[in-house]
This record gives sequence, C-alpha cells and structure tokens, in this order.
Amino acid sequence: MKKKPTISRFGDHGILIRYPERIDNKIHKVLTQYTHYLSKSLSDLIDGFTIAYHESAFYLKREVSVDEAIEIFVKKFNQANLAEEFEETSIIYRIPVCYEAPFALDIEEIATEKKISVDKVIKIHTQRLYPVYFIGFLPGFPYLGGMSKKIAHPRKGSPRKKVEPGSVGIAGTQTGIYPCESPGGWNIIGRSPLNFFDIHKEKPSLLKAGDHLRFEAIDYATYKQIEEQVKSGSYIIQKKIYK
Amino acid sequence: MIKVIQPGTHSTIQDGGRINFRNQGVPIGGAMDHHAYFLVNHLLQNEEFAPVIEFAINGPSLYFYGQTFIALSGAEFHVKLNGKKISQNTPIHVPAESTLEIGHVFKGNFGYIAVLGGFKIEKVLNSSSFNPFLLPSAKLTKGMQLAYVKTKFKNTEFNSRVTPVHDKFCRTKMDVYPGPDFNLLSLEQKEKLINQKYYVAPNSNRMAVKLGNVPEISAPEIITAPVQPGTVQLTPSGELIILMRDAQTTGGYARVLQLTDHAMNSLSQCEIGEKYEATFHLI
Repeated sequence: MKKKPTISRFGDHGILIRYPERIDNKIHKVLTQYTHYLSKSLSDLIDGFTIAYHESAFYLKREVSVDEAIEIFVKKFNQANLAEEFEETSIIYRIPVCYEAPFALDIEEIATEKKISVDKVIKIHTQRLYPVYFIGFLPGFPYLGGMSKKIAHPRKGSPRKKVEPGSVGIAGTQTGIYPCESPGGWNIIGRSPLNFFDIHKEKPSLLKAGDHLRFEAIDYATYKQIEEQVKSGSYIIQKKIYK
Repeated sequence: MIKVIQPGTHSTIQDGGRINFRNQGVPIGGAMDHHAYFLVNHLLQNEEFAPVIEFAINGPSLYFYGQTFIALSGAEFHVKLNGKKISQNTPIHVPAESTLEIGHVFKGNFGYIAVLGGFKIEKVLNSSSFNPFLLPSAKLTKGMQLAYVKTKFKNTEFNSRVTPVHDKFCRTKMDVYPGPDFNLLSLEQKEKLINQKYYVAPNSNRMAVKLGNVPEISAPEIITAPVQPGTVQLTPSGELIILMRDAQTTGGYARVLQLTDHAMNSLSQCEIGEKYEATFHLI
C-alpha cells in the first residue's frame, strides 16, 4: 500500500485518518497496523481511538492541541516500519460454536430458504477464516468480513427483544457474535460458550481489529463442558499468530 | 448515606465517561452537559471527574441521613429542601435528616446534583456512568442507598456562587466544523444545511438528538466509519441526527458536520418542540 492516507481534524479533540473509501483487506490491514502503532507510540496524547474499514479516529486528551498533534502524527506515521513492528499482534482464534437447539433459533429458516441442509449451512459457516475488521455496535461486537454469500440472509423483520451473549448471527452478508445480552435483529444460527467481553480484564474485548477467527462446530455436551471451564477460568482459547 | 425516596423519570449516575475503550465498542457516555457537570463539582471543590446525579423531566427525592453540602445546576427545576425553596448554582448546606425534593424541570433538559466529596459508586472500565450493558446499577431506583466520600467543606469566595451556565435555553446556536463527509454535498445542499432553522424533535435522548424542520437534502450511506458525540449524520431519507454521549462508536450515515464541545453542551439543554430554535454556525 503505497498510497498515503489523509490526516485531518475531526471536531474539537479528534484526528481522522482516511484511506480511499472501500472495504478492502489490504487497506484495512495497513490502517489497523498504523492505528495500533500510533495508539501505542503516542499514548501520552490520546484518550482512545476507533478503527473502522478505511478510517480510524484518534481522540486527543483535552489539553492537546489538534493542529500540533496532526504534525506529530504525520511525522510518526512517516517513521513507522510496519513489517517489523506490528506483524505479531494479529491473532487467529478458534471459536467453538454449538449450532444445535436450543441455540440455533434461525438456522432451519436459512437452510430452507437457501434449499440446503442445516449441516451444509454449518459447513459453509465453519469453512472460512474471517477477518475481524473492527469492534463496534455493542461493547466487544466484532464486524467480521468474508462470509459466503451462499448463507447470506436478510435481517429479521422485527428484532428480538433479547439475544443471549455468545449468540452467533447472520445479517445480510455479514456474520457476527453478540458479546452481551441485547435486543437484536440478526438471524441466530448458534451460540459460543466463550466470553467475548469481560469487564474484569484489562482488555475487556476478546477480539480486536486485525485479528481473524474460525468457527468450529461443537455439540451440546461439549458446549456445556466449555461453559463450565470458562466459568471456572480453566478454559484455554485456541489461538495462533496470524502470518 | 443518602436514600432514594423517589428516583424521578430518568435519574442516573454520570461522570466524565469511559475514555480509552472506544476501540472495543464501548460508548464514551458521561454527563450530557459537561459544563453543568464540571460546575456542580467545582462549587463543592470536588475532584473534577467526581460522579454526580443527572436527571431529566422529573427529578428525584432524596433523604440525607447525615449533614453535608450539595450543589445543583444545569436545567432549571423546582427544588425544595425540607419544604423550603433553595437556589441553584451555589453550595447548599444540608442538615442531618433532610429531605431534598426535586420536581419538574421547567427550563432545559438535564439537571445535576453533586454531593460534597462526590458519590461513591462502583466503577466499570474507569467510570461510574450508567450504561445498560456495563453498569446497569448506576440508575436511581426507589429505596437505593447512595454513599459518598466524606470530606470537609471549604468555603471560599472562589466557589461561593457562580452564574448559571446557560442564560438562554430557547435559542441554541451550535458552532460546527465541516464533518468528514461534508463534501458529499453540493454547494447548494451545504447552504441549505447551514442556513436552516431547526428544532429538537421528539424521540431525542442520551444517544441522539433528532432535528425537526429539516431542508430537502439527503446523502447516500457511507461505508461504516468512526463517529463521536457531536457528529451530525444525514441519512438517505433526509433525516438529520446529532449523536450524543451514549452513541455507538461507528456509524454508516454521512457525517456532514461535527459540533464543538460547547455546542454539545448547549444542545443537550435545548428543549424538544418547534418553539425552540436551533441553528448551525460553521467555524
């Protein structure tokens, strides 16, 4: 990615970094690496940041001047050597999901609509490696890319009042995981026993922008077993570094 | 200790908000009117970011077991201490076994109550601000007991009285920057957006303010991108939405303008209805 982003003011205390407007894995990768790099190397200046597909925003501490900070950001940006500094921070997680009753509320509807078996829906959903583009919408909610169009299905006409934490859903061509109990309009195809947002951890969200994940089908008994292990703190999430 | 006799319509604990967790999808939250929030703490010489009570429409009734000091600011509202009217924007001594009754908000939207030392409330992700997912208990309920940090009151000329924050609630002029997607609009559309006289429409809340009397302009959806409190979104159907403190961290509508901090505070106190005017001023 040779093209440089624009770096500009976003309100009284914000800085916006923008690449060309499209959902593109290469753009997103570079954006995420730079954003994580800048957030660490300039942590004294900022009170947080947000990453999306092609833009990230930095929110400066109140006493920091935006104009001066933009100059510092540009300078830091030009100094960064990403290949060396940030390759190791991207992780692939294996996410166990039970695609059975009582969790898979809408999987049969999708199978019927797509004229394929439920097993085929599961196979398609577990086949791919999904990039985590960013966390938004709810605390810990991952925006995942790359779902197969073969199982794409529109959002429910009216949202459910309550979706359980860990629920795995499909909305249009997107798939995602509900980290906490909330109302929601996604089609629920299963549930993961993992805790995706733990307020007691230093980094509450399990996933971050730039990570990847693969879903793995488990049966109900295994779900219960992992759920217990997660509760007691003995479950070890399977993960490896993404190269 | 303080006991909640009546919680009021929507009374919550608020502070400066949850900084540093926005990349994990956590809204910043915090007091809607930061100016009034800082003022009530300043009047009592509390820590700058001490937790306070924020209320709207009808305020709470509170019982104080011991003596202390309080400060009230923000909106204008009916308030009595042990049956007698008391002033806003000045420290008030509360004798032991007192009852504070806050009635209807009659000017503005959000009122604030600070107690000497600040409320002692659980923190989740470095903030005591109410959030339905993270800290649902930071909402006042009937019978709830509220603790506060014990400290001595130091009266000085410096904090004895302040002028109210907002002298005019009925005309809100909002200073705005061009938003990241401002240039999706034509020159004519930009002029319509800036020169219109708006009002705050119903269904406005701590997440977003909807504007009424919108001009006939619209913008296509964008690829989901960062948003923050004060971001003005223009939808494909021509709605104008200003994101407030509890808004999500990313959004898919065109970000045509961005309010200053000061404009955010003023807008938070602009009442719903056509008789109150809200305008933009591009800086």
